[in-house]
Amino acid sequence: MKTIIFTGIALILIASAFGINDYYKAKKKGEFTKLYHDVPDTVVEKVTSVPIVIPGSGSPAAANDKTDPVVSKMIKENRRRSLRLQDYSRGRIPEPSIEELTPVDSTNPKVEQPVKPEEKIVTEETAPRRISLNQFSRAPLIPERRTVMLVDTTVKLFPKSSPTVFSSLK
Amino acid sequence: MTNSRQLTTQKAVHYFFAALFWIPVSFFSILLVRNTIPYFSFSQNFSFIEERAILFASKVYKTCFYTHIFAGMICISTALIQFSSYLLKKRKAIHIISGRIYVLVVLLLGAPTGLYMSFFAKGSFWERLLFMFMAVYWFYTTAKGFQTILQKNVLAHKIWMIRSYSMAMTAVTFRIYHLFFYYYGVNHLSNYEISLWISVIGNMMVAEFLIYRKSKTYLQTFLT
Repeated sequence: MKTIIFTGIALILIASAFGINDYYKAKKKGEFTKLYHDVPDTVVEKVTSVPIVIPGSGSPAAANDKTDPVVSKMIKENRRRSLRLQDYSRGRIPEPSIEELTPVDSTNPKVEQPVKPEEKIVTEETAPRRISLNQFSRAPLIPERRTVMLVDTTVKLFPKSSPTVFSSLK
Repeated sequence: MTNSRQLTTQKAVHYFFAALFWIPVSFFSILLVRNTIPYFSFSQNFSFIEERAILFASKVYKTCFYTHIFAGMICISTALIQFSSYLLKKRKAIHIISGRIYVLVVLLLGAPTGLYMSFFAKGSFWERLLFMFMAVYWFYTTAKGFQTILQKNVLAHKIWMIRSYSMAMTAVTFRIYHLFFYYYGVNHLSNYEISLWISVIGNMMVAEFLIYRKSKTYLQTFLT
């Protein structure tokens, strides 16, 4: 039975020798800084913007150059985190967040003044953390991928279907 | 002088606290085993493996990893029944067989592979050092527990095995702290490091407290 202990000691020594050797090899190559791939917390998949047509500003193309209808607001909101047993792990537990571009003028179609193109307000919500049975492992938890929803914020003063001044000129 | 009613109450309190300790320990141990099994599909689509893609390119590391998680599963499963006084009294053979499996797996698989992997552990130099200490301490305490039972020193065997089990259980307690700190919004790396230190130091303290409470000559337990 003592042979087990001596074999174990031999294996520990071998593991140390291999470990030290590989450690210095990795250090020499400069691999130590990139051993662990960092998973980003938030993934923004799609962001789109819609042009606006402003009355009395000449051609619609000219109006597009001046204004940007995407008006959003940055709000950080920490919600109560929920736990999942899959998070029972040595790995990274993600902080999924939802990024939404929320229109300011979507409720008020009678806006006549153009909005400054620089003004962007983005709504960012930290999604609740969930813990599930599967997360009880060493694995890092990959953040949930959420599609960014963009509500059409265009102030359509001249809808395509309705006749405009320009169409009557034709 | 204690009457039979007091003795019954004492027994009930003892069983209550034993249940309070062993039910969560058993639950989280089984959960750990359950969450480890999918790794034996040898698929690379696990976030744990994806995070360590560079390390998994090395055959030595890969072999060590799979051996280590296999060893961990066996250790945690076999150790669960080792502290049962019922099995010790009525089914001693089960205790002996599962004990031998535990010792074999720790000494030949778990500790050596853990030691190799500790050189590349996540965190700073100190976390690597802590992992190395864990591997060596786990090996040493298990070897001492094994040696003392071969010498028929049951009391010393119990003490060293409590220490060994406390190291094996760091895998379980780490995950509990990790989830706890995650829930309260601690960032990932800090969470990882804090959970690691608390699990190792905390488990050692609990083990030493249990040994201290039971042994009259506490310091001598390190020399036996």
